[in-house]
Amino acid sequence: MPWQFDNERPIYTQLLEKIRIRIISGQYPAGNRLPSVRELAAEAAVNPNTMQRALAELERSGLIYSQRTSGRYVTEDESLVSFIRESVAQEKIHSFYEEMKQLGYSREETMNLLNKDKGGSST
Amino acid sequence: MNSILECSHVNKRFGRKEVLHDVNIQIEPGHIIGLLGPNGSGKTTLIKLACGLLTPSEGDIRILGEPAGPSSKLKIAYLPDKSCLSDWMKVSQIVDMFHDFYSNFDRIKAYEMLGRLDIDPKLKLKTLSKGTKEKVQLILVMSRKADLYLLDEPIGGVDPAARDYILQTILTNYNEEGSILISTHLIADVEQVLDRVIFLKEGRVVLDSSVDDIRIQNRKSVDELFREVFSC
Amino acid sequence: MLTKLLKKDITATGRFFVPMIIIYAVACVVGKILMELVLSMLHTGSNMYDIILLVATVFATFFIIYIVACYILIRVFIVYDFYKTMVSDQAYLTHMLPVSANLLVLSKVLAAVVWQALTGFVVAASIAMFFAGHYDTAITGFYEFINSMEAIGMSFDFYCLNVFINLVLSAFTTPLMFFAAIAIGHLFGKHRILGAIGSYVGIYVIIEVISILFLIVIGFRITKPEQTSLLVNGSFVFSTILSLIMIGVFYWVTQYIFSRKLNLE
Repeated sequence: MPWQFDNERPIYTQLLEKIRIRIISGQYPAGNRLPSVRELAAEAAVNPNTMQRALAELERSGLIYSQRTSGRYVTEDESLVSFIRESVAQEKIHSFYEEMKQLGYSREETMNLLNKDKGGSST
Repeated sequence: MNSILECSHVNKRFGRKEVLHDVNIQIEPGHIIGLLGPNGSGKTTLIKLACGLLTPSEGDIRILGEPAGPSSKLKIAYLPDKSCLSDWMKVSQIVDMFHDFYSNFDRIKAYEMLGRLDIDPKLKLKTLSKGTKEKVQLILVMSRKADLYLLDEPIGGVDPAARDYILQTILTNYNEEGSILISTHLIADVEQVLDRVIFLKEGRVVLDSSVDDIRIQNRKSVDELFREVFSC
Repeated sequence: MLTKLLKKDITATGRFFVPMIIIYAVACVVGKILMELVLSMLHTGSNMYDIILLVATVFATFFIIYIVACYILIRVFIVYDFYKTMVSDQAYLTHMLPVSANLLVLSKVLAAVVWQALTGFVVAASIAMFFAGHYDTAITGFYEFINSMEAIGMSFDFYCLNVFINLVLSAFTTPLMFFAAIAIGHLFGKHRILGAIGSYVGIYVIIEVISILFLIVIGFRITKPEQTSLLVNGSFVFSTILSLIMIGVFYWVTQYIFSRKLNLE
C-alpha cells in the first residue's frame, strides 16, 4: 500500500519523518541495514529521487550512514537513537498540550485528565 | 551529456487546428516526470511526436541527440493509452516478438511478471479481458531497459487496486539511468511518484517545475495547484 | 532485421492464406475425382451418370465461384494486414519497432509475393493434376494455341517469357499499388479510408491512361496487317517496363511517406 502524505508540505520531509519513526521505534533496529532506495521508494510508492533526498537528510542528522558498496545502515549509536526518540516524543507532547490549550485546558488540568485516564480506555 | 528528450519550439497542427504551440521541454536522465493536463490539451500528441509516430509541423525533437528513427526507437519504450497488440497472437508469441526486435528486452523478467499475475502465455490476446491486455502491454514495456519510458495515461480508467499495482510495477522495473514521462489527468494518484511536472494547457506549456518546489512555494499539492490552474 | 520482419509478416498473412489454399487443394482433388467419374461413365448410359453429372456440374459452379472469390480474397488479405499493421490499431506497435520504414515496407511486399507465389504454384499443380491422364487432349490444344499465336506474329518462346515475367511482376505491383494508396490515404487523417480508396482509384486511372496513350501511339504506326506483331510484342515489352516503373515509384512513395511523413492520429 502506498504511504499517505499531506498536501502542503514537500514529500521528502514527510518521508524523512516516517523513516525516522521506523528507526526510533525499532522497526529498523540500530546497526541494521536499511532496504535500498529503490525498494523503499517502491514500498512507499514515491519517486526514488525524493526518497534519496529524504535519506540524505537523515544521513546528515547522523541517524543513518552509508557504506559505499553495501548500502545504508542505521547508526549503531543507541544513545543517539534514544535522544532523537525523546526529542520527537517531546515535540508530540508539546503539540498535544497546545491542542488541549485550544480546548481550554491549562497544563495542570491536562495532567489531571491524564492521571484519571491511567488505566487506559475510559469507562 | 545529451538530454534524453529535447523538444525545441515544437508546433503541431492537424489541418487548421493547432494542437501544440511552441513547446520547449528538456528531460534529463534519472527523472520521473508528469505531463499533466485535461483531456485534449495535447499530451498524447506530444508523446507521439517524441516517439516519431507523428511529425512536427515546426520545431525539432531529439532523443539523446538524434532525431526520431530506428535507433531512437530502440531507446524508447512507449505505452499507448489503448491496446495496440495483434489480437490473433498468443501472449508467448508477442513476448517472443519483443525479444526478437528489442535487444534491451528482458524476456525472463516478462515471464516472471506474467506469472505473478497468473496470465497464461499460451492464451490468445483476443481471449483476454481489456484490463488484462493492458497489463500485458505494461509488462512488455516495463521489461525493456529503455532510456525513455513514455506512458500515456497508464492509470486512466482503472480500479484503485490496479492503479497501485501499475505504479508499483513501474517503480520496481524501470531503468534507473533512464527517465519516465507519465501523462495523466489523475494527478492525486501519481503525485508522490513524480519528480517534476509539466502542465500543458491547450497545447502550451504553462508550468515546468519540480514537485517539491511547487509544494514549498505554493503550500499546496500539485493536484490542488492543478485544479486552480485548470478551473473552468 | 529483415528476416525477423518477414517471419512476422509471413505468419500474420499466412493465417488467411493457408486455409484458403488448403480449401482450394481439397476442392481440386474432389473436382478431379468427379471429373474422372463423369468421363469414365460418358458412354455407358447408366442412370448413375445423370446423377454424377449433376453433382459434378453443381460442384464445378461452386468451384468457379470459389476461384473468383480467391482472386478477390488474396487482395483483401494483403490489404487488410497492411492497413491494420501500418495505419490502424496495430500501427503503433509496428512503427515503434527499431527498424526503418524501408524495411517495414519491403517485408510486407516480400511476404505478399511469397504467398502469391505459393498460391500460383498450387494453381499450376492443380492444372497439371486436372490434365493428368488426358495429355493427348492437352497437347492437341496446345499446338492449336501456338499456331494462332504465330498467326498474329508472336513467337511461342517470347509469349512464355512475357507471360512469366508479367506474372512475376504483377505479384509485386498488385500489393504495392495498394500500399501506396493506403500510405497516401493515411495522410488525410480521419478520412484515411476514403483517402486510400480515392488514391487507389486515382493511381489506377493514371496507369490506364498511360496504357491507352501507348496503344494510341502504336496504333498510328500500324498501316499494314503484317504489323500486328508490332502491337502484340510492343504491348508485352511496354507492360513489362510500365510494371517496373510502377514498382519503383510505388515502393519509393510508400517508404517515403512512412519514414518522413508519418501521421498516426
